[in-house]
Amino acid sequence: MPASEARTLRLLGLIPYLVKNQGATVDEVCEAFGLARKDLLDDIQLIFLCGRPDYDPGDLIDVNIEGDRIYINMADYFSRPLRFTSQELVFLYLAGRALSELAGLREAATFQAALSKLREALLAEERKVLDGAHELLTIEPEHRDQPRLRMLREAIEDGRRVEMEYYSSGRDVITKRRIDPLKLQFAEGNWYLQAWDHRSKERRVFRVDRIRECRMLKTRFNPDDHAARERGEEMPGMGDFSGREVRLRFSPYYANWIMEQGIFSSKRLEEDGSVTCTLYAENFAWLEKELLRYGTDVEILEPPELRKAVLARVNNLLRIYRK
Amino acid sequence: MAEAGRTPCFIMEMRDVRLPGPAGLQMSPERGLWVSRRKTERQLNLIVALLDSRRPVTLEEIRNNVQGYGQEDIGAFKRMFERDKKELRELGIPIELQPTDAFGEEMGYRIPKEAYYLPEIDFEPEERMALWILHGLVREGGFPLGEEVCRVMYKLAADLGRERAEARLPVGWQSAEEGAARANLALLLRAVIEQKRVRMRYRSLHDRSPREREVDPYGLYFKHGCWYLVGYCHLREEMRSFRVSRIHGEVELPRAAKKGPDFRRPAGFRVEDYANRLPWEFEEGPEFEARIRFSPKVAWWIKENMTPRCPFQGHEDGSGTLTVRGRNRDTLLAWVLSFGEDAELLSPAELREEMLDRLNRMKAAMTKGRSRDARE
Repeated sequence: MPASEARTLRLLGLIPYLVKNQGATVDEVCEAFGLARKDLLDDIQLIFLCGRPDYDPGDLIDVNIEGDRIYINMADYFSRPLRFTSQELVFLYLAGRALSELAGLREAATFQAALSKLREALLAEERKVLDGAHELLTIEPEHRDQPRLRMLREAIEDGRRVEMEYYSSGRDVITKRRIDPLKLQFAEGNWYLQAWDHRSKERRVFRVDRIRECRMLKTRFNPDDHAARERGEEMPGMGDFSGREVRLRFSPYYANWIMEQGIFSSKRLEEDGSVTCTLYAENFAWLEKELLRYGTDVEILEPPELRKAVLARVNNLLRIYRK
Repeated sequence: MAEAGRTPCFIMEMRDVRLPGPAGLQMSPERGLWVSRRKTERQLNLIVALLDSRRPVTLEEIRNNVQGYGQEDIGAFKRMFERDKKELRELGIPIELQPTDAFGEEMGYRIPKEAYYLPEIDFEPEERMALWILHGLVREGGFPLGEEVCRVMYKLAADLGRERAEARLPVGWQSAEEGAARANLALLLRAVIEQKRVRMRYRSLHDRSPREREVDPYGLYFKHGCWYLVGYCHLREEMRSFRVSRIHGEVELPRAAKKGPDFRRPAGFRVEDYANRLPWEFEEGPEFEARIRFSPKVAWWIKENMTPRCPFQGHEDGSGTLTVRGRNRDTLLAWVLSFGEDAELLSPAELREEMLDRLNRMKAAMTKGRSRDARE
């Protein structure tokens, strides 16, 4: 949507907000509408120039900022916001359903109640669109109400230490750790937990589905003790160019796919249609297994010890399947 | 007001606004912003005039009375009004054409109040909080429908009250979906809801270049950070899933002008049936049932993530056996191999044979050039 149309929509919501909440503070309005202070002031300047014909001072919308509070008059025709379209409610519905089910939010039931009130505000034929939409559109459907996420969120909010058994795929081992959970992050179809790891004495990211057992301890911690590092926290595993360099060649069959993947760098399409690329890996255990997946469609160019390790696994598997 | 930071907004405007004025006039960022601002002002004034009037407002009255429409040239006025009307209607503003009096000789425009105003919604305090929480989550970015949800929240804000300090959660979203996919998404969503056929240039994973296809879009799903379209593909003459980010350029609606739906979605269609498919359930091929044993190190994970969709039998030593049905043998073998020595395909015998063959070929490829006795 072009910026000016988005702005028109914003103003059609902003004016009724100001009418209903006379004396709202500038900060509060900025927060509710996701605006920087100067953008809000610019919006108010613009509102000031609108009104009904003949645009005499008495016909224009009257906005005053007293101290830090905003008062608005002569905007009765904008005392209510514009109706939703069914498409907009479909978006809200999808987002709400995905977030409440996916994250196992405590607020899920309340959110449903709010949505049914919104549904009532739709015109009859638009209601039909909304009611049909759940068959047609979905976000991450396989994740359902997860008690573990709920527990972790509680631990984060209460600042409680957690003890867990964690399967580290990188090293292919299960370890017992104590962690101070800090934030949950959903990315690329998985939940990740950022936490202070007492075992490694550093901030780490864990994949929630790889936690085998976990329980909340009585011990409390202060999240400020584990303030985030400047960067590298946000995207678990991706764009992390530390570790050893691995060079791979994929057959033309996988060429498009490799080009799409952010985890590979220095991608080069070769004349024969194959793709060579680079990957950085801290540990090789997971990579050895992952490479087995591609069979003869991948060639390990570097380092030789990775090639050797994968070959050893192929030999082990051959022994299993020859039985 | 023309800081460097505002330039992107100006660039977006350039596409939409044809500037009146002498041909030699240089377009400057200041001027771009000014035009955009004047446009918003003019559109708001038009809404007020049509919403506030007791009777339909004629074109002539709009030209004479509404601020921003006083163009000398009637053609320029009409073009501007038509463009504004179209844009506002796309935003959901119900501008209607009605006769100005009982004789019906003269027509004018109106925005009926009952069609414009959102009825007051009386939320409970917890419901307000739940909506603010949702808003806070999507606003941080990364959520697949974040921008759209924020725009709905503009309309809701008035009824949501002012207490929102607590509405913060230690939860975030991230998705890597590219801008191109986002642009097509709104159009695809509309096509799904209105059952309109789409035409697109799509490059599937193993295609060398994109091919044009027409698809009856049945549904959309978001999975593992990407949007997918499910529909009947007229090129392949079967149901297919398409990753939205693999569509080249803009999606078209070839039959947009025709009123009503272009196709009928089969009764009982549920997009979740497609979204929840396991990789080996795609594609053609005779159906098989396979049993896979997993070591204690990973069996618990299999149980938690694969059941109840696939039957799982746990054993005393912590290992377990999973039973899967599918039609794509290659994908299943690849998946089993990705567990290394922690997974063994037990049956059927011919699939086990295939696995052995695959492993032999891998070994041969990895040892070629170094030793001749690759097959021992």
